[in-house]
Amino acid sequence: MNSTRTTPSVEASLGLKGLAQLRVLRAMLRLGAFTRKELATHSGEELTFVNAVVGRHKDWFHEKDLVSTGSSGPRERRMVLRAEHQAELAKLLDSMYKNAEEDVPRPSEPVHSYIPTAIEFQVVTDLVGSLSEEGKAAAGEVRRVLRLLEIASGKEGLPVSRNFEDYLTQDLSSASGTQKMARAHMDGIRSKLCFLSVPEFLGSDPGAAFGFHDPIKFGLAFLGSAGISFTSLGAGKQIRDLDLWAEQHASPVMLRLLTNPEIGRKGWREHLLSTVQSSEFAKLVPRFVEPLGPRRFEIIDPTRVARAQSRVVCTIVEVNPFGSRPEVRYATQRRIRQASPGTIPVMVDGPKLLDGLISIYSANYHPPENRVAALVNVRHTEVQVAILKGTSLVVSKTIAPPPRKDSMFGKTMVSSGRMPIFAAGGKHAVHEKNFLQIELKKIMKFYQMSPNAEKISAVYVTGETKLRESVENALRSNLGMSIQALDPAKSMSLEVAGFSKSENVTRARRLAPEIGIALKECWTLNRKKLLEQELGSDTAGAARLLFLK
Amino acid sequence: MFQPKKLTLLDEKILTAKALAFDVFVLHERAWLADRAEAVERLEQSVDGFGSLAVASDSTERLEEFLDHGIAFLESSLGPVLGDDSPLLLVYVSHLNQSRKKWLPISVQAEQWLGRMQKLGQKYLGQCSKEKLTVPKVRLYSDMQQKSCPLHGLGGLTDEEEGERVIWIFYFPPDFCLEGYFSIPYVLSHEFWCHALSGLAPKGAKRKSKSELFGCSPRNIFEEGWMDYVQFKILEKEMEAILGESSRVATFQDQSEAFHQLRNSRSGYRPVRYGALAARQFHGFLEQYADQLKVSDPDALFFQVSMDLNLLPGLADAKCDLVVEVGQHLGVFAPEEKGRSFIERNWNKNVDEKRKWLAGEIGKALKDSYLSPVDLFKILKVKPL
Repeated sequence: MNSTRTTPSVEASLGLKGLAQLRVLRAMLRLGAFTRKELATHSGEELTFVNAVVGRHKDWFHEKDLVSTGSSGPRERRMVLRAEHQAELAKLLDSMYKNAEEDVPRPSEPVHSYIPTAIEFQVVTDLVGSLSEEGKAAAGEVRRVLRLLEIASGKEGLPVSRNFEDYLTQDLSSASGTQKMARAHMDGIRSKLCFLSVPEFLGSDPGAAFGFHDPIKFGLAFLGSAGISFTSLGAGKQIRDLDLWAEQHASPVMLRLLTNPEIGRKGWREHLLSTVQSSEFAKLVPRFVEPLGPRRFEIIDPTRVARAQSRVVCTIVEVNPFGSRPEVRYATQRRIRQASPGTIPVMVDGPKLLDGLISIYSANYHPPENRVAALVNVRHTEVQVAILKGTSLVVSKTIAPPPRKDSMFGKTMVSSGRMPIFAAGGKHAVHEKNFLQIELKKIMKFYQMSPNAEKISAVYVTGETKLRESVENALRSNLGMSIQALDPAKSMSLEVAGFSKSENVTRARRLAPEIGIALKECWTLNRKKLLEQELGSDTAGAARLLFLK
Repeated sequence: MFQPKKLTLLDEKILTAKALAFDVFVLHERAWLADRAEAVERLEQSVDGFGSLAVASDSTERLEEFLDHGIAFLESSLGPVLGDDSPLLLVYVSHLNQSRKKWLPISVQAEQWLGRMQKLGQKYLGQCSKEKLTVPKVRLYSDMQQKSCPLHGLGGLTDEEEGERVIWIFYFPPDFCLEGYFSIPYVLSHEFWCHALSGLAPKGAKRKSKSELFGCSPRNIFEEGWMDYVQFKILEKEMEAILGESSRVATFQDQSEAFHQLRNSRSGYRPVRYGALAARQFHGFLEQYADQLKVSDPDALFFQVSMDLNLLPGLADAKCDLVVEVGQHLGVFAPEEKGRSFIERNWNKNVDEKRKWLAGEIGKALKDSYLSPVDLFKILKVKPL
């Protein structure tokens, strides 16, 4: 059957002749007991016509008490189809269907706008809507919704199974376009149910209560299945709606799982990450995967304006915070005119760079609470120094020569026209190194004189490669303490494509504060998303009422 | 601990005066619509103006005096539209004055209606249920609250306190209209039959688990849907007994039917509608197969099994599952469903067989025209976990 054509409805296939009668008789069979007005409503036919059909088959019914109709007109007598005439009515209806013309395309709306009309599907839509507001679904409700979907599937002529997994593998190649649309809608609902049931799987094992054991696996599978079907049928709006739902209701739950791996179950994390970070999934449901995938930041230092005045120096960092260890996927510097689409711009200043430095140190070294360490980030224009106890900043300083003219290096020095200030070589290098050492010693002395000061266990140096090596060596021979290059690959994956492992480390060291900023921003965004969800669910909970519904 | 809550005098006065105006108006509605349809709108506007009458907020003025002011206000505001000498107006006002003498405050009317429902409840429990249960003490509280009045300025809620059931009826006077007044019995009946008589543990038995705590979800297709149909059928049957008089039974019944349809067709409430449709299908099925089942009163059997299900403590999931299974076996269809010919043919072929099978199974389980809800669970393979 051509997938772009709809299955003929009864209305279309019968033509006008006999259609009205069929509708009334069908309503009689479906209802079993009714008033004439109910028959008219159910069949969509005029009351006079209904009266005529009922009159023709009087002996099929027995009449009961008068009932109210809720609208103008007299009260009505309820009629009951006699059980012994039910088969006769069904037979008559069957002959009418037989005479119907088969395979007439329905000249109605396009396939991609088809929504299953079965009441069970409508019920399920509302149930899942209210479960979404609550942010969870209990086992009983999930099972009931799945059962209702089975009934709705049957009404759509789709294969029915009591086994949840079967719906992912059924062959729909001979199904009509509307049937495929119906299935895509139902897969979307199945996916929602799976995601909504995740909170119920976090406690004790629910066993077979839900009818499935792995809500993440099936949630993603049905989401993917619905997405592919909608896309292939040209149902752009439907896939966008599904993506929007997933962004609002599933992403926060997934984010919670990824940021707290201990609350999930074995295997969830890997499966989730491999699926949501695949390019196919990102194309199908971009809003859903966006918070769960890598994030790209453009870290802009407004004080570093390139010679061409309209451009600023920007560090582009892509990090994936959810791998088994945080992963830097990309890190480079460029001169840009404006932020690129799809990236998150971050403006930096001295304190923010210092934050980044602390962040990358913490992410790699996970220092114990009482460990004191000094971080030194050497840049051509300035040197940032931070002394930390655990991950808490105790003392910090930015060492930079005065902007214009000073006598700090022991003799009058004109700095204008000389950029960068600190350099690995050249005629001022010795003075600059001495100046740096003096300043570093001052800071450390200042710290050590403070109350509760403890021994600095190590100094970690990072920054411009040549300069860092030079400063590192100078400090090693002068400070008399453990001096190490900061290792950004200690607990992080550096996977910048096209670079060797050592080049990756060198680059990461050079851009350490910016990478740290990107990591920190990532965690902040995730926390914000989780907080938004918590606030949202609180509001929805407060708004629920149990009065006459 | 609930504090007994009553309407303020101001709300009581406005609601009672509105109710009087509507109650009398329905007797004249046809004549007004035939002769002066535009005056109907003016009447509604005037009734809405009761709240702005200066005397409304006068705490020293009694309800009876406020009704007099209200009638005078209606007369003066309708006079320019209908004409001061209009027979329509004169007859209406005279009828108002006549009715006003015996007109009870709205909260008293609601108390009386609920009181009669409780007596009926005991009667039905005695007739239908095999459990020796008594209707629990039911308190009626009233309050003014906009958010709890989704339809016609009217709403309801049932709660439990110290073993007693507490029915709250909410009004929102600015939205309270003719349909609202005539739907009060419906709201009370829903709260009473669906919720006040739900989960009644037999005497001495204590609730076992959290799932047996009182209350139900707004999407509970059994208590909010199936039982709503049941209470509506009881209300239809017993309206005269509940009102205590017969002259306005048809109006109350019609408005209740309209309220029932409106409530269950609201957006987001299709689960409730499904529950009601499944109940209607089961009711019709029992009527169809009454002879085969050797049941002289299928209505009584329907009420019995429904009420007994509702009386069972807990089992919310099982009751809802049962509704879905009934729907699956008997076929629940909404008028707007567009069938596919080949599926409909199959369904039509099987329906007689399926219904016969169910009738056969129920027939085997029936004992003296009594169907135990546990047996129905078994027949439909619902596990009452």
